[in-house]
Amino acid sequence: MYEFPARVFAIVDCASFYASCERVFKPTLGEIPVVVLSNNDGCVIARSEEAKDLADMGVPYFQVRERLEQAGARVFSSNYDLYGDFSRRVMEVLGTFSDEVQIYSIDEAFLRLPLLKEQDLLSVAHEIRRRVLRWTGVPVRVGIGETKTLAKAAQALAKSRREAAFSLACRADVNDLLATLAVDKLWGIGRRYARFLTARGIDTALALRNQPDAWIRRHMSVTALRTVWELRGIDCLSEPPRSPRQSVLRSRSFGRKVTELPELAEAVATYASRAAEELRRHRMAAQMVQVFATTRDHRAGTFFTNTGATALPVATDFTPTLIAAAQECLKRIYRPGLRYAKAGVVLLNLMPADAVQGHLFCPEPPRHAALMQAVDGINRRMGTDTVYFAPAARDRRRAWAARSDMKSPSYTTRWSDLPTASAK
Amino acid sequence: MWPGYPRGSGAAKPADLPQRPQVGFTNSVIDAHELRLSLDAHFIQHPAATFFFVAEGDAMRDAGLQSGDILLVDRARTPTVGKVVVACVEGELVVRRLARISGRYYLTADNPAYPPLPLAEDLDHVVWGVVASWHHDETGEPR
Repeated sequence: MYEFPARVFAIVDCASFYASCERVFKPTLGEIPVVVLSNNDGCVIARSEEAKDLADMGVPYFQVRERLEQAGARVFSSNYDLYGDFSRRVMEVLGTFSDEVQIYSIDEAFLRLPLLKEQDLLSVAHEIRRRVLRWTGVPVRVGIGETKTLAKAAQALAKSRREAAFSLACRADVNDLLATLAVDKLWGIGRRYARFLTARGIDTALALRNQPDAWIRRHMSVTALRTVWELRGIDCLSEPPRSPRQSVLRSRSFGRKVTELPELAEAVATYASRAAEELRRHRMAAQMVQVFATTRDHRAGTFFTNTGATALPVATDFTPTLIAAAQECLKRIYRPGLRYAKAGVVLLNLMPADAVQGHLFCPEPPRHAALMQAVDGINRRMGTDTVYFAPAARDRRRAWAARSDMKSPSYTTRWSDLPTASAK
Repeated sequence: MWPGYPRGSGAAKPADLPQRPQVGFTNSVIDAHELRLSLDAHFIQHPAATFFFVAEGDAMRDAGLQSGDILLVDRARTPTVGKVVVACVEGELVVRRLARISGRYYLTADNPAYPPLPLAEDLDHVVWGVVASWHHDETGEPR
């Protein structure tokens, strides 16, 4: 018999999230294979269920282009305004089921659910699925377990059984079910450990669960031990230690090669602004700014990258200071005559913004914080880059901006892009 | 709203608001600011499920809906007979009224020039969302 758990976890993930977002305003895409490409239209990064046989994840677009065309697939450039807005909506709907929603990624979240019997849990899972689909148009899958790891295992079982919801909580047949789950499908077991375990005949979740602690300790990490305990229903991850961010990176490949310093400087300023925004979202300040610029020529096989860094006297989250530091770095590393393919900004030596030690000689004026708050607020409400700092051009207007020829409208975040409801 | 702004202190004002001369009554001015009515709060019951559309055409003319008006479409509301809805018809999203005529669902126009469109029984698949309100700009100025 099982013990009645104190609580259960659900993992909710959006099936083919980007492709699902593209479908919401385009009913004609119902059964058609849909594929979404990475920045710069380089690689396939999302596929609808129908497109999974046509293109592998991460495959360069040009390799599968013809095949997709023949199959009548619709191909989209990635539209992060749209996906971000739908992610927020999905998470908001999940918040109607639980006060404890932990966003795990753009399309995945853990919920802590009130305790119910198995049948009730499954009906809650189906209700979650129904409501998210009805309210946002995005289909989700739900896995439920007594720990996060078991919820993830339930999710994997749901996936392999092609079911929309699956629960491992409060079931007498958990062992039988875990015996059907390959060890490499387990959350927290990396590919190397999976190979190691399989080679020793420990090839299912059940086998791993039954392995003695001492053996796990001897051959694997503490994290793996935690996974094993979680498989036994002992909650070790409900309060994961929040590892503070070590750095913030913003970079992109250019739509075409860039040679001139002013153009490069504009791009770098934009990345610095974006990185600073991210920094403030985490209430952090950076004390070091690093800039890199890369040239790349696949045919000639040449590759050149140069990096520079500037330390600031005081850690800051103030965009103009960070832009100035980034541009100073760039000037140091820039070589005329090179054709740059990519550049980026990394903010390092992060610390909580409220812990920054004032510097005797250059105190950060307090009104800077208010200005940044205002800028971030406006950009959040009105769309990225509504307000920007002069050195940073709005990238979509600029030559160096990434290619995204097949991008759908930003239906939900831009007044000019609202969908049409025909009254004809 | 000024998040985190300490009331009554001499701290710097957020830069997104015009500077006001310091003449007292600061707190009541802020309170009045916070009381400002919000159209969002009034018209959007389910923010996660509400989407904006632009209407195009005159099929809903007699209901007062004009081409170019902005529709607030709430997917959390249950489509019931008589409601104005956005629905998928032949791959297109259209705005019409949900009707039931002699046991069958139809999408009807509020304009005699347009015939009713018969619907399949499975409303969940056909109705995209319920129109909660629409908004007409009288100025005619570009936004």
